Amino acid sequence: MKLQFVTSGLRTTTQDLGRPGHTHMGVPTGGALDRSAMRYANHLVGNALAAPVLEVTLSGPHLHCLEAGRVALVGSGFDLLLNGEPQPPLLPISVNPGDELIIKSSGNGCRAYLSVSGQWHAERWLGSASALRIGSHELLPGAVWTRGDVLETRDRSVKPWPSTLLVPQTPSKIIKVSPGPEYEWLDHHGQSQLLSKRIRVIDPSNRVGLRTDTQIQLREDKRRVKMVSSGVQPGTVQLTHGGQAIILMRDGQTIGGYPRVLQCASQSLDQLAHLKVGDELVLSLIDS
Amino acid sequence: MTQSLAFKMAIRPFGDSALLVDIDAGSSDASSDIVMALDSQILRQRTRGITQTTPSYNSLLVCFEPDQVQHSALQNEIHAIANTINVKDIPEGNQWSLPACFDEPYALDRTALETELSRDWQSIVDCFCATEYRVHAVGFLPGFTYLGNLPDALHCNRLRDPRATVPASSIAIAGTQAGIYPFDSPGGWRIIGRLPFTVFQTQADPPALFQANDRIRFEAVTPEVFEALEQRPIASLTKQATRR
Repeated sequence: MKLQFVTSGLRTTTQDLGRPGHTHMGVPTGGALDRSAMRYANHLVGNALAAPVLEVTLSGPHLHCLEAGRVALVGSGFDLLLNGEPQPPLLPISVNPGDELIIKSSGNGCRAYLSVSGQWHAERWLGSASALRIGSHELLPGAVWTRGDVLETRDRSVKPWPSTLLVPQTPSKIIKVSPGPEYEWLDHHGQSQLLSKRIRVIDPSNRVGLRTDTQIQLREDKRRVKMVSSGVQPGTVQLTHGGQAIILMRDGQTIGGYPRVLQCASQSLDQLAHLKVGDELVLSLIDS
Repeated sequence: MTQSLAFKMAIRPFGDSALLVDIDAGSSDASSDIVMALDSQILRQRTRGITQTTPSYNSLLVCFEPDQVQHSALQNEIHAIANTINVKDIPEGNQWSLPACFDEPYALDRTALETELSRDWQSIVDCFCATEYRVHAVGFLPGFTYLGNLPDALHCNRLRDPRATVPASSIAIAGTQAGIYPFDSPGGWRIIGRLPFTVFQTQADPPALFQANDRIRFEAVTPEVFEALEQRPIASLTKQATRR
């Protein structure tokens, strides 16, 4: 299949399951923020579940088809238009040369995943095709799509197979968490401010981290403690000196010096992909 | 000859797919030794279910696949490995002697540091270059190099307002630490100089020039020498950083 980008959308990147095993050099695992959506999109077009996909952010691309194939869009808040006609969600769509594909935000979407049938010729770094931006520096520039680029895959005519793979859940605003290493640095009041309350995502928030509008103080005796920098992971909730809770995402830092008050459950990480600036979420402690 | 090591270790769950191992061996250098030894042994034994490890100062983050191994079983394995480590398991690390320029325009915080430390610039640079630094961790950003052993005389405050852009390869100090910035990035550490080459290259193997436990010394060079070194191909620059 061959697709040309007429427009790229706000930020459209190649993503797969990332590059685990390099955090000792400061390289985050990265990869598709919503992995179940990525896998399901690949499943729908008959690709390997771990194949690269396009990750769309806030506004989607306009694609012109040069060679036939199948695509599938997974992600709430976006519609897939084929020659202007909205397509049914969560189904593979056959596309022919000359067709126009538009991924259109319905206004409330944050991220969506488009799979493209066939074998990708994606450039890889440390085993992964995933884009990674550090500050203003692109570590894998070929994984960031711009106007005029052509995405080409080698056809492997595999029909989608029946599968018990679950349809990704509708994104929930309730994020399951467990206590982090410095959870006890919060007193009861601090804990109750952070948990089971609606908190809002504020700017800047991106693949590195989600900032929130919390103002939470550490326990009196912990406010002046200088923490020694220690490992963090995607889903770690850090509390800054200003009392702001920051939820680290998959492109986040590997070592941190702020108290790690909570850790999001693995199963909740995918849901974080769909939270954008202005959205509200609730951090909910897992019963143990 | 083997020599066992004395240290305290605490292992805690950190979410559903990681364990945090905290080490206390008395001093930061001794704790760092244990973290490195434990990390190398965990990786060497290819412990089932572990996906990656992140060493840092006095802790080791161990990420695992919960489908393959349980918290408690992995904790027991890490305890068993910790009981066997000894001095020879501490990885050696490379020793580097790096040309660096501590003059303007690279020493962005020269004036502020002269005031804060009540010393003239030459004595600050001499003091900085007289010390061998240990790489305690590489992380935060890809290739960001945390250096320990900063002399007491150079301990200083961070900037009140971080810079929007610190140039790549800048050498910085803050608190009791020194560090090297791999990319142009925001930063609140005090900038005292710059290396004439990049410390993180995606196409190099490994991409990060330095690794935890390396030892680094800096040799002050003039801006003219710095500029000449900058012009050289990267391969020869890397060799310039001689391993002793």
